[in-house]
Amino acid sequence: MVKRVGVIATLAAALALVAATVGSASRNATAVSALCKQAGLAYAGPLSGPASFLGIDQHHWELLFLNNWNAGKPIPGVPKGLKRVKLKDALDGDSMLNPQDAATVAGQIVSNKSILGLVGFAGSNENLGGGPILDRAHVAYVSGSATADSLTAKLQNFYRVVPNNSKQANAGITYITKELNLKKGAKVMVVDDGEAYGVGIANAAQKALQRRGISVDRESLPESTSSATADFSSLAQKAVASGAKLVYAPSQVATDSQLFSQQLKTAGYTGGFMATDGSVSPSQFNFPGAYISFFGPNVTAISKPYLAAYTKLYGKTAAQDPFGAPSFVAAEMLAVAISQTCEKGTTSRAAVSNQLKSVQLSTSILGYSMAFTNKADHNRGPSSGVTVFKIQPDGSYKQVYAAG
Amino acid sequence: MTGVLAFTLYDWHYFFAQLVAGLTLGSLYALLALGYTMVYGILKLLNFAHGDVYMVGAYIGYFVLTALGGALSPVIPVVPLILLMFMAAMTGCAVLGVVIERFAYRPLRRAPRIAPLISALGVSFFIQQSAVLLWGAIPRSYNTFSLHNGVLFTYVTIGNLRLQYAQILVILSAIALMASLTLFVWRTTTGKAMRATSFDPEAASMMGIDIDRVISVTFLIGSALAGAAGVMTGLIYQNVQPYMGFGAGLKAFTAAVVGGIGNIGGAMLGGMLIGVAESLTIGYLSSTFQDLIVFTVLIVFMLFRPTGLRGTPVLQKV
Repeated sequence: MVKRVGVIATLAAALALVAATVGSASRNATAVSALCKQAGLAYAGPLSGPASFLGIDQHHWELLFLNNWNAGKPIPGVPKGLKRVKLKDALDGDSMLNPQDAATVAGQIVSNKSILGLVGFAGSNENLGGGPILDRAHVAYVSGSATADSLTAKLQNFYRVVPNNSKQANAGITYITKELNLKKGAKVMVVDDGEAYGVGIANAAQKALQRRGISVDRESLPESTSSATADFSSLAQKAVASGAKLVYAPSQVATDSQLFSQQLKTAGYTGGFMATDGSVSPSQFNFPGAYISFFGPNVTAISKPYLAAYTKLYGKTAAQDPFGAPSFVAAEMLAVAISQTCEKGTTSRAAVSNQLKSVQLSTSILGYSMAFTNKADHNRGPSSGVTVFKIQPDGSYKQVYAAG
Repeated sequence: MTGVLAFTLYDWHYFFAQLVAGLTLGSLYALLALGYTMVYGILKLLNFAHGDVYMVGAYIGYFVLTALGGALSPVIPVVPLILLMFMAAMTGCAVLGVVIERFAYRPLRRAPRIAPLISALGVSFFIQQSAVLLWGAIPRSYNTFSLHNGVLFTYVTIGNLRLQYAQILVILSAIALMASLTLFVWRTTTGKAMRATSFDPEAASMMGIDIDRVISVTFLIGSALAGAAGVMTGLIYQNVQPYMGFGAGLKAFTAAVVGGIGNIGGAMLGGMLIGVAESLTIGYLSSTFQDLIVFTVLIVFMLFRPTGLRGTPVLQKV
């Protein structure tokens, strides 16, 4: 009798366990399904302030992606047979290139459970401000423009679809030293903008130049948004007097690059001038003959139907700026990762972040493939993307180099 | 060491080029410093909004230039165009200065000194953020390098000196404005009233001087000079943006202190000194040390000559 009771009790316990497990799995499946049904992406970057042109442009490209993705239109690189999870534009965070504002936006993202990934932050400092908050909540954030080398090492869920500063500086210096025939002993002036961005990329360029035996005069002049007035005339005189063959000046303010190149010309300087991605703005920096390195292709290399769609929605001037297009690919990487986790039934913020490491786009609207496999960038950045433009007499950007 | 090497490497042409660049920048600081020094001389108030008035002046100049066809296709010749830009900016800023004084400072005239100081900071942010809302935060360019094929940036050579027309325009305009102000203060009845108010407001009031009117005139003149400095900045350094007033105001305030705050000649001298110090630091040391040198100059003056170059010690009666 006792034995029979024991068997019955054991059976009942086993049944209860099975029921609980099935119930739990069912509840999990329901939760995952609900998460996939209401999934959304956020964008964060400077939507106001001096760099708002950059943030607005990136956000527009993200919206263009979401429109095409949700409408089921063909998008270059999306794996065949993938069941797309519809995504909403869940939050537009204005982090103004400011770490404190980025931290506030990160808090908003964390508290909105429908957000499974962030396109952003745009700037490196923003990522340092908001990134740790997203890391604690396991939210993946894929930037279309943050290039500071240290980000992938410092932040756990940070990814980028653009090459880092070292890669950009090395590619830019490789091209320009050949183009201007700069040999050992030649003089180059490297001017940073006193910001984390400019100092980082200038340091990398200085090392690349010194490795080639080129003499570097390192200067630093705060960008106009944080100084009394942007006046490069004294530096221009110095560049002429020192016989510099190249002035390499990373800056986040395109109008500063324009002024510097103009003041160099009026001082009688005849060498080369090279700016970096922070100054990419054909409407503001268009000094003929200047070079500019960038972390993506020129607009002419962007898939034509997408450029046409963008122009139709946001105007010709915006479409001439190549800054925002990588954010389309950032959103695409996240969308594919989210859809893949939904297919597997494992969707969560952490799962999306983990899945990003496996996402591979065979091509993209930028004209090249995308995967986070660059070992030099902690496997959370791409292996290609650096280009160099030369500004033409009409002010347009002509791509003259693309790093392999 | 770098500086010594630089002196041996570079010639006098280079020195004069840096000197002219410094005097140009210094002229702008000096014009701005005049506004700080005049207001401080009379009200003992640090008008932190002064840099933002300068920013508004730069924008007014930009809008006049744009309305008249822009730098690429101006509808009137260069000289009247520039004169119009100056007149509009000076008038606009003069009105703005008077309005600020009337509504932000006058009601606090008898309040503790900290109150108008806080009010000044508030006005500064108000103007700055209003500019962001009205005109956007993206820098705008005068693009005067394109004005009549860059005529402003062609050089005139006098011996070892090579000056651009734009530099001549800025330096001479600043000197002319400062000379006019000096004459005004020393040769007119209103100027005499300003000096009397600065010396002892209560005694001046008892002598029948309308203190409110004198203070309004002080703000009017100081703000007009800031407007002129704003246009000059746009003409020579191209870019205007809503945040440009803060940094410029800080440097101009430093210039006013170095020159002896409250002293008109001192403000001019201080401005020129700061401008030249910045330029020579970039030219002979490194741009990295530019602000370090400027603020070291300020600290040295505070330690060894707290009254500045032209200031006089204040006698305390007991």
